[in-house]
Amino acid sequence: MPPITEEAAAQLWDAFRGGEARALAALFEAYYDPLYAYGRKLSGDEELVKDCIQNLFQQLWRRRAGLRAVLVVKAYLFKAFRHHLADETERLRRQHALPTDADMFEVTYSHEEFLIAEQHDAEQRARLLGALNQLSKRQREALYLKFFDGFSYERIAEVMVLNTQSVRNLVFNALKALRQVLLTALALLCLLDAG
Amino acid sequence: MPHATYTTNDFLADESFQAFVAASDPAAVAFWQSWIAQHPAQAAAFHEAAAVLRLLATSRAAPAPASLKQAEIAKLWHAMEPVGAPAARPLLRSHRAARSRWWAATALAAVVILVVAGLGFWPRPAAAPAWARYATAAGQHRQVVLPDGSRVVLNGSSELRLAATWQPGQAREVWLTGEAYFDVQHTAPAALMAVARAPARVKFTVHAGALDVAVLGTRFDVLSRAGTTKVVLNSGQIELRRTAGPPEPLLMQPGDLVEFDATAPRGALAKRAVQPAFYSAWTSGHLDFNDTPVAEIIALLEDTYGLQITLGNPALRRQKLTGSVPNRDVDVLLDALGKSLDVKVHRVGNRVKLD
Repeated sequence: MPPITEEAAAQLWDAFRGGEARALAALFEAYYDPLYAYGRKLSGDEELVKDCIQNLFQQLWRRRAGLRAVLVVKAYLFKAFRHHLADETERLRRQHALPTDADMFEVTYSHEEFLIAEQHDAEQRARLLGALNQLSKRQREALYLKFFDGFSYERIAEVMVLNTQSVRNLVFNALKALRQVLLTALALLCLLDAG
Repeated sequence: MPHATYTTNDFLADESFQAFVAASDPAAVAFWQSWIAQHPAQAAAFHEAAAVLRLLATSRAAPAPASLKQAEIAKLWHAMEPVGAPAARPLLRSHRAARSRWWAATALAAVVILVVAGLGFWPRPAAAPAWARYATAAGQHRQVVLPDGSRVVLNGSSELRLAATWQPGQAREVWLTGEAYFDVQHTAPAALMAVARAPARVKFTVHAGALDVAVLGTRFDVLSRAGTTKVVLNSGQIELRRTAGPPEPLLMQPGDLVEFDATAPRGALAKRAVQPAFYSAWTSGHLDFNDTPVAEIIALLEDTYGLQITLGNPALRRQKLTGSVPNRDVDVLLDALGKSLDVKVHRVGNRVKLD
């Protein structure tokens, strides 16, 4: 599905607040895939992800009369969804008497997500993955929102409930670490070529 | 910070530079292309930063499974429906007049829903289909004519959803829970009879439970309840696929019955031969037997009503029956069967003993 523009999403948002069921269904269609993918990044529990998205939209419908206009609908949905997922994860943890973790979301990356074009193959990819998965959880999440969903620093801050400077630092430090990996890889290639 | 003194790390952190590498913002692309042409001294840092970002720029998350998305949007639609909508209210019908008023009311409701669905307008770059929904209460039947002229009879406690408008030359799709009998219009050129080689735009697909039933123009029955989906083909051809599972389809011929249990998804799709007319007999409201072996009637009752039937005297299985019985009510049917065979009917839940 082609991405929907921010303006079109904002219009759909206003239409659904006015009682247009079709408009909310259209937003659901437009953002289901990114929400689902983000949820699967944050949680290993597929059923929970599915239910949280469904509950989020049903709740939006029930509470439509009290909702305000929003600037970036996608960021609003991501933030609300993340909040739902955190609440539910926490509830399930308490239910099963599991220890609570301040950074509850474990973001991991997999091979399939990177189509590393013009790059040197599987080894390069493995290095990148290795480097990504050594980043802190928050760095991984911020990087995901930046490069998979194209959010600006400001919107990532909104979604993750951090200030913009913190997000900027998270992404920047993550990119520096990846740069290091790439440098090493290039150096190795040069050595191999020389030998 | 002026761009002229940018280091690799400064390029990395710059959102406009990130947008340039990702090619997500034409203005950023134009700016950085002309910028680097004018600042060749920065080329090393510029290209190194671009190389790092390019590693991530092609990253894409996998989309959610289509069947999941479809099921979830149906759930959302259901939740958004106004409480007490006419189509959702069960109604007792005792005589013909009440029934025709009911039909008129539901037909009107359907028209209103379609018209209302067609009125809303706003710019929407994403596909936002308006849905038509047809539902029946327990014991109720309903005939639906689809936008392409295909006819559907919905059995009781069933629901059919489809896009409110169908464009000619587009794939036709409907979503079913419960049971329906389909009589599908053939829109492909007459010479094209084999569904397996047909393009999507001439196909008609029923999404039912864990199965996708694709046809060109045929008559068939689909029953999808409680995780089990059953398909019986009366005429033509069906191409059957599991929504999750191996992509190879199963091709059904007239008289084939395929049953699929979503809770045992690893099992292969298996077909067996039946008398298809029995399985669509509910549309006419009566079952016609013509020298039909009792064994076959029992198999039909077990299939259609989820019963487990045992015979006190196994020899009765070979006995043949002729006649017509109403089949709206399974107890009436069992009673008729008991009387014809001169046996007593004991029914507990879905277990039936004929003794």
